Amino acid sequence: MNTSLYISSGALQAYQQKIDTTSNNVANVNTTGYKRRDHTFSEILASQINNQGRGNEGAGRLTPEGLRVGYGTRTGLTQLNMAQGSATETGKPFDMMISGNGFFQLGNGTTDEVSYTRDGNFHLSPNPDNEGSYHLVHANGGLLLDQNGTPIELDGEYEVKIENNGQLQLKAKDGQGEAFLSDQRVGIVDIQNPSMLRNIGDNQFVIDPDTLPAGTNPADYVRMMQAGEAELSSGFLEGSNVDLMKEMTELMTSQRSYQLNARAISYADQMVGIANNILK
Amino acid sequence: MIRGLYSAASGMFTMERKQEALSDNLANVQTPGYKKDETVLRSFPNLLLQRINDFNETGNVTPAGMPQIPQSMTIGELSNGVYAQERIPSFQQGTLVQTEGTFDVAIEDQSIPTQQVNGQDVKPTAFFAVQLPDGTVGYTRNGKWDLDGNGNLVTSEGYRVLGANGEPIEVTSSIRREDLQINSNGQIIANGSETIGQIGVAVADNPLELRRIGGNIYQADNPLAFMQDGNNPGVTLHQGFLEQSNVDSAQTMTEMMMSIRSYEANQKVISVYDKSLEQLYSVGRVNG
Repeated sequence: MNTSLYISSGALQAYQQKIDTTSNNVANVNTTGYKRRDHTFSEILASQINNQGRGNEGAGRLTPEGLRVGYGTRTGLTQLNMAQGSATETGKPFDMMISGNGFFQLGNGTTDEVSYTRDGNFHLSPNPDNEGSYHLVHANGGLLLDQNGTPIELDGEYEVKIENNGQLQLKAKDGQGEAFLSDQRVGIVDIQNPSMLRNIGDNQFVIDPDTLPAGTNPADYVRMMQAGEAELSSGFLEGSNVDLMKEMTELMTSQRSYQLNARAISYADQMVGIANNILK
Repeated sequence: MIRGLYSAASGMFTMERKQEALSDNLANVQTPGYKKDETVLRSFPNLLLQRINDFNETGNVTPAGMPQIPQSMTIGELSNGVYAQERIPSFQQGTLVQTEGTFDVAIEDQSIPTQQVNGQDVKPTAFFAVQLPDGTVGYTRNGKWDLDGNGNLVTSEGYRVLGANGEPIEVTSSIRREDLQINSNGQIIANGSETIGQIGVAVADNPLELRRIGGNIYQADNPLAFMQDGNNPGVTLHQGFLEQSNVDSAQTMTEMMMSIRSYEANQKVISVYDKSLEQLYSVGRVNG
């Protein structure tokens, strides 16, 4: 019957989730290509108590008849914020940063499963199927895909330079012959609606099929960008877009609100105690 | 004498109701667009106490030979306790906080002119309109929106935001969210010039007549008219801002303390009655 206890404990849970989201942002303040999440609250449903017995007793009231009571708060949205992170120069040839929109595609080389990332920290790794050639791999082992969705394969005899438009310029290591462009380029895809993305850890996203309208599949929402449409900077990494000041302020305000709601629980408990003390 | 016992019990019960409303406000201290509820307490209808089977003491003379008719004698009024009559939402403007989100929109309606309703000055309140799952229209001040998989603008609860034409707003996937602008009249402008929609803003002349249905949504008995573009005196929309809850946590905590003390006072009254009754029952007990 004492619903204030449940209202406040529900609120504690919601504020805890906000603190969790903020902590995750703070923890990733130095994670390459990390995109922060913004947490907002939403009110929980109300119910109506019909407390009016006879007609003339409610004379002078300002609102429609009945008593509408709410039940506290819950987590509303945790929106992905796609703002650009700051650039960090590393000088490594296979570090890439996308300026503006776009995601790198990562595949595993065997199945069609693709994940997306903003983290452009790639390394050369020998191709087990073809000696002397190399793949570009992500920190988690995913292979960087080209514009056709196949893993990028580099011949060890050539020096590679990644151009601003994502094309790969190859030049023989012995200095012989002209530099030329590879058939493959770094495939960068555009995903219009970041709300569809789901974090799967390791700095990667997938499109959540559950959020899609019936009859569509994740591929319908991914558009391969043309060469030059997205600007790529090699030798740079995109930093996290977490603003530490803002996160700490959020942390403080949610902690205070958490405390206030904990106090409200204590009040509700005291009320029950008082009621229990009628017969001492 | 026992009547007071019930009055004190109703006092405790009402303070619980008030505490619930305060807890609900406190829980929503960070919910965008939340409007605080204030509990109004009301005394139960007064009883008129009368003595019956009593003779009139005012000395009225009855006609000779007629028997005296028993008259009732008024003692006075007795209040029979208290109950929570209504919760009045306060539609005071909340603080606008910059968030820079494309689909964060705040209503500022401070300068809307007041109107006369039933002889009282009432300040109309502007709301966003949303489509509820049962097809009816709800009104909200929560301007924290996002796009769903269909490209519809939706609230945190997943309700579709309505345009001024009463249809859900759809943003086609060819438009980037960075290229969208919402101006102070609520027009959604893509790529700097092309108007692709108009956010529906409805004004309730007497917002207290709205019915709160939860999830930050209010409903009206009669649908409210949407403001058409250019015709919204006193209402300004701000893109990239959110309206914070208008709950004052310090005030809420103070009221909570007061209501818990009042609860305690009522409990004391019950205890006193209990003690008196105990005394009564112990009168005449052998081997007390």
